[in-house]
Amino acid sequence: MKKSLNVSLIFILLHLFSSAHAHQQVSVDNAWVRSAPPGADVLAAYMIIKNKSEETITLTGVSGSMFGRIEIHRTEMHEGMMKMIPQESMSVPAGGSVTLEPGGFHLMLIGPKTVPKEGEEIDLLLQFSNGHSQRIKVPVKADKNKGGVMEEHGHH
Amino acid sequence: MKNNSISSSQIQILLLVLAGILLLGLGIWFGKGHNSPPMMVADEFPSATVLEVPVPLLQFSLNDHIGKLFTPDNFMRKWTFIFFGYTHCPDVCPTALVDMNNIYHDLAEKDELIEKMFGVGTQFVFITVDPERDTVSELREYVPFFNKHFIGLTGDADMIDSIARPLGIAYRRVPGKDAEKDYLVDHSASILLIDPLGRMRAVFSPPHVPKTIAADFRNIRKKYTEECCISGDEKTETVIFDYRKEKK
Repeated sequence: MKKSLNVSLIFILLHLFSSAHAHQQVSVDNAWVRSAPPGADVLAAYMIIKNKSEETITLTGVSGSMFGRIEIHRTEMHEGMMKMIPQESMSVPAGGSVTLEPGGFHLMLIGPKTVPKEGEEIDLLLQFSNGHSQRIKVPVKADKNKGGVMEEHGHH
Repeated sequence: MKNNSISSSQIQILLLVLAGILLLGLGIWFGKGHNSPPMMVADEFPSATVLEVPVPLLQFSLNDHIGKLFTPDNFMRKWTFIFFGYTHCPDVCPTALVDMNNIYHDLAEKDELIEKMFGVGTQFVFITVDPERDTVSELREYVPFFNKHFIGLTGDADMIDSIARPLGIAYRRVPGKDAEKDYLVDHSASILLIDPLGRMRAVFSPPHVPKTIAADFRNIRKKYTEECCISGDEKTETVIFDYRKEKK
């Protein structure tokens, strides 16, 4: 009885360890949603996704109960125009990171049920190709202050 | 005969070289884009392409975000920053409006929104390239969110087209992923500077660094305000003009 308890404890510990390990393979830093006017139909979320594993991981989808739909987009200059290009997925190289930032990759949050205010947090679920999914809380920031965009993202 | 053949091959080489130079020239010419107005790139303004000959604006009439008429008269005796965008645009447009807000505060902090010598003010304008969705009431919710002093303009699609094209602003509607109403609009993301006579004087291409743009703007303003505000008959009238006393 005691032995089997020990064994199951080991299993539980192993399980805890392995899931913690899976979490550590992907880390999300500096996530923020740009606060938008009360009637906004679309918002953008930015973050840095780090892949600490030894294999490329691919972000295949993002969901959030507050939004109708979430797409991965990339802003690109094309024929002198800024163009938003929907991405099917986004790869994060082994041991590397991808920065989602204004004027580049971003998550386009479409059809918010209510537009979140500055200081609030939204929940997003990031889904990766290896079956891993990660729940993140993303604060809504005004980004209105002088030099906000540049200073916040210039140093990463 | 031998001499002749050498000289003809020399001519051939010369022609090839000439053709090369011509092709190179054409490449540079087309590389610059034939749509853009004639420009002078001045080293003194790192963030701006300043036009030696300003581009005159066409006549137009649009509505601002509170429903008032906005015509080229509204450009007179003010320096105007313009950004063309649309409200269903989550990344590029808010970024540009936040940048414009930062330019505004850079100037406001040092009480430089109004140019001291001639009393010429500064205004910030957002013109929609999506008038179908961006009505006056949409803009009323959107534009003041970034800065309550900013002006949003909408109106007839053809009218907006006739303003944008001569300024080198291109845009094109592209279908979104799903619904018909979900379309996106590709558009130029430059911030334009209109002088106090309503002519385009400079273009700030992205990515925008508000501090640098504000610094360049101060220098452009210093260099060109006099030209705009003291010419011939206007001289006396302009000197006594004070934007602050203008009736709201």
